[in-house]
Amino acid sequence: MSVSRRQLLASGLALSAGLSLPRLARATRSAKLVVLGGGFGGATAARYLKRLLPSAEVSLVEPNEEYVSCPFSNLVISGLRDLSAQTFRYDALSREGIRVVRAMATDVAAASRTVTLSTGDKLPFDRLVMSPGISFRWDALEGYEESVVQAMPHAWKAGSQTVLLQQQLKAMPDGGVVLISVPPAPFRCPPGPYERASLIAHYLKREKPRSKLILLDSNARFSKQPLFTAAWQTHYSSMVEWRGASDFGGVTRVDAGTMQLHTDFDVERGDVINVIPPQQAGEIAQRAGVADATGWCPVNAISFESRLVPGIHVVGDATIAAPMPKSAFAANQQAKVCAIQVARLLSDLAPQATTLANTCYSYTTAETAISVSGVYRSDDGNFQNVSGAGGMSPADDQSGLAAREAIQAVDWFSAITRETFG
Amino acid sequence: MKFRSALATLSAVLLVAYSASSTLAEEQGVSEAGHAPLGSTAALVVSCSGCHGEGGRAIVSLEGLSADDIEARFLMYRRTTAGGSSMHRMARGYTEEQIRLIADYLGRKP
Repeated sequence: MSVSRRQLLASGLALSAGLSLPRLARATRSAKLVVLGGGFGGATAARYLKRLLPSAEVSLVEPNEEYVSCPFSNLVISGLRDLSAQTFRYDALSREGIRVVRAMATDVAAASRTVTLSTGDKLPFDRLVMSPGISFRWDALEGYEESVVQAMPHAWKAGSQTVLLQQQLKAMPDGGVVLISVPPAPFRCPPGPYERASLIAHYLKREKPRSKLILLDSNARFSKQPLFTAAWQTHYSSMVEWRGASDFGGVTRVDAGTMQLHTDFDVERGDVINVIPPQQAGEIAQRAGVADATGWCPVNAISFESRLVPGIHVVGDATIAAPMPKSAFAANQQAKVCAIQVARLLSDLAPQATTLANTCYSYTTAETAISVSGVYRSDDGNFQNVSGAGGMSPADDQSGLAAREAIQAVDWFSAITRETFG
Repeated sequence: MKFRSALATLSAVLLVAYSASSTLAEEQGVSEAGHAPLGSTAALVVSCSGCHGEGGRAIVSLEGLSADDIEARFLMYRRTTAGGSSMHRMARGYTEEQIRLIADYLGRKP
């Protein structure tokens, strides 16, 4: 655009207060778009924004040089996969013209549309997309604090914690007891704890067959419950025990010194203890004011714009998007839809409702997997299940679907990580 | 006179602003048309790439399939009551019209 046009536009702004000119004018310079968080939601959002708005300045703020994927990390814990197969860099994003900023976002000022970084720098934005993932509620479980995670790994953010849990299982003697504490829903990856139990049992069955695994669960029921229960019965018989909320299974206190988990009526001692902590949206969500009293982020389902702070969009695990689950598939999917809606807003087009989908695969052994799918509409600004669609793998698997789904899961991982990280 | 010239400037400004924005829109392929990158079909189609990818390994690559091929398969997934795969379960959530739009968008262009 020529200088004279710019000047003309500027004079127009002065003349036409109250008309829609300012928004049009703003869209004609290169938009500043900032994405916080380089996981499945954030990295996807950055790539799609850059693709849809090539002239926009897109920055991705992420403190880590590498991203370690939570999907498939249960295979690492059980010794079936190497962590390096789960580790991704942001080089492809840089090559595409996305500015990858290696820093932590420490504050978001919605009024001045500025993100403050741990480096002290400030990043201005026209629109902000936050994909902050989860943080742990250290105050929510007695005895559980940051220093405990070495003795009782969470392994709920993949990386060194994943390896630590794997090593502890390896070091455990045959005949040992593995405890998994499951926090109250909602939490990241609803079927994750039960896939983890399955794959740890798979490892124990082969390497330490006299051992036992107990799930102490704060919830009365869980994702894909009939399928997991059947798989445990078939493959691991009495090795896996699940104690739900109605049997007072929920852990109320942890004691790292004695390696014990307390429930309302029992105390269980474990040789390896995996405490999956109670969760809420990533810390920056609380600071930016986009999380509500539940700790999670309410969004408009059409645009993913925060219901609490205009101009900020939130995607992924941090959002309140039920019935969409907190999954990598959902985060990637929401990021793509969000990027389209942000590009529409910057182009003066109204966001449009659409249809979204999700599938989560879970391994029940090294060679078999089950899945749950859903299809959702965003019409009235809330997510709704499309009736008649979605659901679990059939319980009666006469066609060998579980073996095919184990392979589909590998191909899904390959496709989604390539789309997210390049 | 003053008023008239101000009015003339305002209309010129509005015109330029309008054409500037439509130029930007054109540059970035922005339009309401279903096949545009920001159109309604684009938002539908982004559900597919998480599994079917954009080249490379995927759960069934759609590369090289024509729109008719994609539509026929999608409809078969939707119809088959015996099918239990994830695609069977998801296909039931789409209308025939949505399936045609998705197939047209993703299908190999002749």
